[in-house]
Amino acid sequence: MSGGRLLRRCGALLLTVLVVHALAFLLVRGTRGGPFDEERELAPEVRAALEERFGLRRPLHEQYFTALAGLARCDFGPSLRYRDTSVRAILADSLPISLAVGAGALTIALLLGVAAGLGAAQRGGFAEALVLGGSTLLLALPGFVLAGAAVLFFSFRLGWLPPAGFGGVRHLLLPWLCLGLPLAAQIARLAHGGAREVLASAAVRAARARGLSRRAVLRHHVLRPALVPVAAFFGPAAAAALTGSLVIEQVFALPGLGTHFVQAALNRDFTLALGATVVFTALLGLCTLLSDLMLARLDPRAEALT
Amino acid sequence: MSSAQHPRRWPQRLALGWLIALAALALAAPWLPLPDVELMDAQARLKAPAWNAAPVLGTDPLGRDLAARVLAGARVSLLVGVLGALVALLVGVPYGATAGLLGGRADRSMMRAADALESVPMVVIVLFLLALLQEYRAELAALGIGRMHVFLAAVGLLFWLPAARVARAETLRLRGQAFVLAAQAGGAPRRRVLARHVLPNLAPSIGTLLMLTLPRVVLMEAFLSFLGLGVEPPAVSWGILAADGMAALNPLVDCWWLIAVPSFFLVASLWALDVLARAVAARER
Amino acid sequence: MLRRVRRALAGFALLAPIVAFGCVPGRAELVVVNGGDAALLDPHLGTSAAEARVAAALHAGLTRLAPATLAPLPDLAEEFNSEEGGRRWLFLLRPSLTWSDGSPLCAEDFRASWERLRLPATGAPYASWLDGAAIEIRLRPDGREEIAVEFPGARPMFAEMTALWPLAPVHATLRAAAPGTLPAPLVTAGPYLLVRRAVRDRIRVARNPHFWRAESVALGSLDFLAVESQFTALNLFLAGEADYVPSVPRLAVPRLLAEHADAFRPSPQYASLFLRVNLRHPLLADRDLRCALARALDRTALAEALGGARQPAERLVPPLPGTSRLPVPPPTAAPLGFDPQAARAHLAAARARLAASGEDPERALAALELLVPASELNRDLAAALREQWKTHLGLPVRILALEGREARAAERAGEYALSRSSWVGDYLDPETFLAPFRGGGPGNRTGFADPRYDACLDAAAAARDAAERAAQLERAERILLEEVAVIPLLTDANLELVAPDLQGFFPNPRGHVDWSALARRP
Repeated sequence: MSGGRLLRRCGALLLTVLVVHALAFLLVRGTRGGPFDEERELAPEVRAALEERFGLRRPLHEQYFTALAGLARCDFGPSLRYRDTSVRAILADSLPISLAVGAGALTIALLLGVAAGLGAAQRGGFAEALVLGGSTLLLALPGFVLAGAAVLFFSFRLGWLPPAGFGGVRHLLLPWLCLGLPLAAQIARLAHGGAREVLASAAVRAARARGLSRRAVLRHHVLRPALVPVAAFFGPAAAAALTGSLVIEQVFALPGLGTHFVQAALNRDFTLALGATVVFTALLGLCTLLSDLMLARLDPRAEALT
Repeated sequence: MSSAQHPRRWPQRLALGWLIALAALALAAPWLPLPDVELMDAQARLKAPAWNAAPVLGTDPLGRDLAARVLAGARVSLLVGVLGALVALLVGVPYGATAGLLGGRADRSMMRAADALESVPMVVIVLFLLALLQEYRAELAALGIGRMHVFLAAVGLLFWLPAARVARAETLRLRGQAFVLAAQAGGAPRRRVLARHVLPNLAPSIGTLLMLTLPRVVLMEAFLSFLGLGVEPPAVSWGILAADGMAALNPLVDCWWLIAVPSFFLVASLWALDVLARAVAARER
Repeated sequence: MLRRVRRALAGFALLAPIVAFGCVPGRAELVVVNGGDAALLDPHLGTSAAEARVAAALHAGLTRLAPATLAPLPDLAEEFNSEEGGRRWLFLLRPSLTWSDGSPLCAEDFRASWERLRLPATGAPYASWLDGAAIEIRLRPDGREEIAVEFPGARPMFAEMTALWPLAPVHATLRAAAPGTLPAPLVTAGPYLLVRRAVRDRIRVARNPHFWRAESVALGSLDFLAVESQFTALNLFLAGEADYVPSVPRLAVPRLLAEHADAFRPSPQYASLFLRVNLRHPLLADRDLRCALARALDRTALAEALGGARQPAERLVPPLPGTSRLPVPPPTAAPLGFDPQAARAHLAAARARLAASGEDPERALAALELLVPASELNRDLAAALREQWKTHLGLPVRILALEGREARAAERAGEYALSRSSWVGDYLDPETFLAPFRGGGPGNRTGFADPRYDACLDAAAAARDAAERAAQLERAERILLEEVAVIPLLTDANLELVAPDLQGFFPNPRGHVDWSALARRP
């Protein structure tokens, strides 16, 4: 991808984050009442002092610029529910866990999906039917169904893995599986589709006729075109992982960003919800950007088309 | 020859059969010999499914019959699915058709706005909005807008984008057709061209769109209800049943049916809707 | 190029476990499931059971409660005694006490903390504990400080109250901090100090080396997990990831009794589960409707539905554990027993009154809402209550589940009709349940105000002997129940799960745990 395009994409990402932040900020400030209205009967001077301290009495545009400056520092103010903790501290605690879950799930999805898809395309017959049928089934499974089955089987029947909580890599194995398998199903289908087209093409048949081994054919001819739709899918895959993590983190009681966001939405903890929304937007934008970068590398034609 | 060109009939027959049976049962539920949805039978707490006796699908820890609840959940989930998909189409199709009709810069800027929205986590935004709207629960209730309406609007808004894209593509295709050109040459204003000529001819692809969006909306409803941000008790939906089932999982007491039954219904219905949608789309082509 | 892809993928794959390893907290010596997140660590503001558990670890008071009997023992005070039947109390402070940062702890800290507790601006829910108290600090000739507290009436249980967190000393930095904010680091005087607080995950505390009996504190670190779901807590315990679970789901009780008898300790609790009735609500101002709602509830069925060792209750004050039950008042004086026919009669009267005033009774009654703080147990309770009202009265009461803080705010603002409430006795005396309902008090929230009630409570406080005191309190309770400002439901139960190798743990009616007295069996 050319430097100019990359710069433009980064600019677009920044703009998206800023717009989302501004909209969310306006919506939050516009809600009836301030953050201290629901607390115990505060004496008027105390409430005035608190509002002064958190800058709630200044005009709206001043508040917005303060919020913008805070955004640059990733400082979103105190959480409305846990007033003695800043949103930044909560985000800092929970983001690594969510990243670990998401990264692991995406890795599993990529490795498993590509392997299954390519294998199905190459071998055909029963393997192909198995992979395609299995992926159809997995795609219709909501995240919590898979999680429930996994916990019932691996945790309670077999007792191999802990059912919930976070204390190490063991606790992440089931979440990785439950989040990664549906994505693997989709990736398998995409890889299978891409690979099958190439495998049927004249170039591959010629290569096989020349006596090239299966593996060599795979590496030199099939892999790259098969990975193109997969790379294009990386952005939506990240979005799906993000959405799925909201449920997976809840089911496995992982203190990640998803749990905090859902709880903030349920508890109307708007500053935390705002911070989490901005972080999610930034993450998704980065993943989309990464996806386009990979796509540009893998298939120069794609860049010319867009 | 690829298998897609000669699709086997049995998945579609099975899917259609399942959906019809489900719809019939859900509608007939009040007359079926099942206990009331909320009735707590103290004698029948957490009973396993007895398949051909009562309780057919088991009971939950409070003694409520799972079959009755699953059918009530079917009503809610499918209704929300259909209405939500309609909302998505109501927003997306005019948007896409207008973009297709206007063409040029307007079209490009409209589509660029839509593209920008792709990189925003819409589910997150929608949850944020739902939380904010809770603040104004009282005011909205005074206007007659209940939580269900807000929820439908939110769910619908999550899926308008694909509908807009398909509508735009179809409109672009129709624009080249003779009758549209004739109408425009006759001096008809664009709005009338849109309403009288373009939209009606989009109907078949709208039908396909509806079939394709429906399972996604049903899944999203289950997802949101599972998180607690969707349908509220005492109303029942598959998502709520699944959440109850998941919450009750433990190694001491067997209660696999609490999660298996709603999951089975949900997965079967989603699979059936998917199969039918793809069949309709294939036939369209 | 593919090599680069492979390298990127490998880096990506390694990122996950590395990050996971990096933020793994490591297991504390004792892991406690806290049943929720302790949102308020300021001892003057915390009220929930979760906050009480953390406060018991972080803060120490003049006295502490003996593990088995809950009798007061000296802690920060070397000795204590009372005069005039509990009207005057004297506490002799230990010399050379220090805070967790090494600075000296003296009587002035106590006095300043208690003044802060009483200050209306603090908004402490337990401010009434020091109502009318005169606090004086005296210096003894041997240089030791003595705290003298004088009440207008007898306070025989004051020594138990000083063991609890609202009367614990609060450091100057916390006293000076803006309300709702905590200074960092948090300086406390208890057996443990705060190490780390991860919101909605855990609160980690470690042994406080400056605590005066730090060498007797056996467990070096504690983790309080903010797990709210009872099933998750049970699963964590069975997997060995947690050592203490405050409450288990009813479903699991029979199997636990059969298979984990060494860990499962159910016991009655001095706690009450009841409904607050908003007397200012236009519908509920009608006593007939309140009676209808109260008499339509089959509490035995409720107790069975919710399970555990919960008992049906027709009175607000639960029976004192270990003592004979409080005498049941004659039927005419207890308007709240289960009687569906009487309930329907009351409802018909209320309907007639509504129709006479020109309102449509069905529409008006359809607006009845039950407010519950959102939680698993409350969801079941709300569903059971709704089912009972539907079955016996034909009234489909709506359920409004709000998050805890919001529910409390709505209650305080009077924006509710019926609200699910619970109260654990802070000390073993009926007054702890009745004091919040004084007219205009912050704990009232029902709009109930009856001068006879307040007069009874005052008379009980000024009573000369225990019998008169009990009689006055019972009279007050009867007034409260006749007005149906509260609808009693159940007495709560302790369903604790404790790791079998933990010693020094005694189930008690207040669910009180002294973390500094626990140790692991070798």
